[in-house]
Amino acid sequence: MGRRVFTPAVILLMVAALSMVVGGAIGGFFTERTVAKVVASIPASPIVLDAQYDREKHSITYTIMNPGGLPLTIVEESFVFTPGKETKEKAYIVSHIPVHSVLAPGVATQVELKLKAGTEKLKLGDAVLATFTYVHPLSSDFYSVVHPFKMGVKGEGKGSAASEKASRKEEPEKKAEGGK
Amino acid sequence: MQRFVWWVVFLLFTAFVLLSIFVLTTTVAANPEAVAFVISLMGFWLFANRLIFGFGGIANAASAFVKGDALDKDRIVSKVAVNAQMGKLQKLYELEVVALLGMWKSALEPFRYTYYFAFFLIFLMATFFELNVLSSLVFGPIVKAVMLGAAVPTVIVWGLELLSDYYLSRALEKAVKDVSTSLGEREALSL
Repeated sequence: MGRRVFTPAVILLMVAALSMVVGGAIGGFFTERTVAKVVASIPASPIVLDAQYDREKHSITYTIMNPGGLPLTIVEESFVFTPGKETKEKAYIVSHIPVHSVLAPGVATQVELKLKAGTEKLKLGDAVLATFTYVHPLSSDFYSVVHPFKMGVKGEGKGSAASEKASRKEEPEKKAEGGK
Repeated sequence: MQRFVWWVVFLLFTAFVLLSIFVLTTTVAANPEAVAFVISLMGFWLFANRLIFGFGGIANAASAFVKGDALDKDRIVSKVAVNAQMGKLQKLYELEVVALLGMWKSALEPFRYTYYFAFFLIFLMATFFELNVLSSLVFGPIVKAVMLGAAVPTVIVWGLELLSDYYLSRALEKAVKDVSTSLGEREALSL
């Protein structure tokens, strides 16, 4: 028989240490869950992280983040189209487009906004002011988030065509304007 | 004295567990994780019971043997054989006490293996949810609660297993020494 390391005193110490770890984990887990539930019930408002114009589909895809712990549902979209200098399209408003996109808690969701069919493709300087109306599970009110989108301005409207990128560089004053 | 301390610790622990269960049951309604925790704690304890009492019994009996106390052979045989008659048929009564304790420990091996395997599976699932290999807002916390509930009896089983190992090897040492001295005496007498 060799030298014994696991004497009863050592075993007792090991079990005590392990019990403290397990106890801490249990306590921490239940505290965390309680806090998470409280935080999740705080209403959060969605934020638009990114908007991209899709030339083929003639639509703008918004990446909307829901920072809260409860799902939000977008029930309605509206937008105002304001033409820039380069387009021949006239200004128009489309409102009350019924949609149903659920923004899952804690993640960014892609929401598509179809522009009016038959209108010209977006050109540099065209602006789309989109309004998303959403509902919160804890109330029956409507809330809205408004996002201004300008074609070819600062990270927004990164068109799929490479030519657009080139043309964007030509107008630095538009960039400055978008930074306001 | 040592045994007294053990009992005090055991009673305190039992009181703590009962109190915890009481506290948990009062908060259960609003908390599905707490339900999962309690059910898992009780369920795993149910399966661990055989191991807890088995390893505890082996540790107790072996330490009593080391101290030189007389052991109830019938009780130990009943742990190894189906019943006393079967034990007689298997000639278990002719064996040394320490050999019987070793057999008792071997008899617990399948239960130990199964228990640790079940705990490992739960632990694995909880790890997967924790690392977002799997992800679910509903099942993630529940699996973690199940794992934590299972961890409590597992720590006890593990501690008692180590303890029974220690006392069994001490008892084996003593038994081997006893046998060799008695053999030595016999040789001395015959010479």
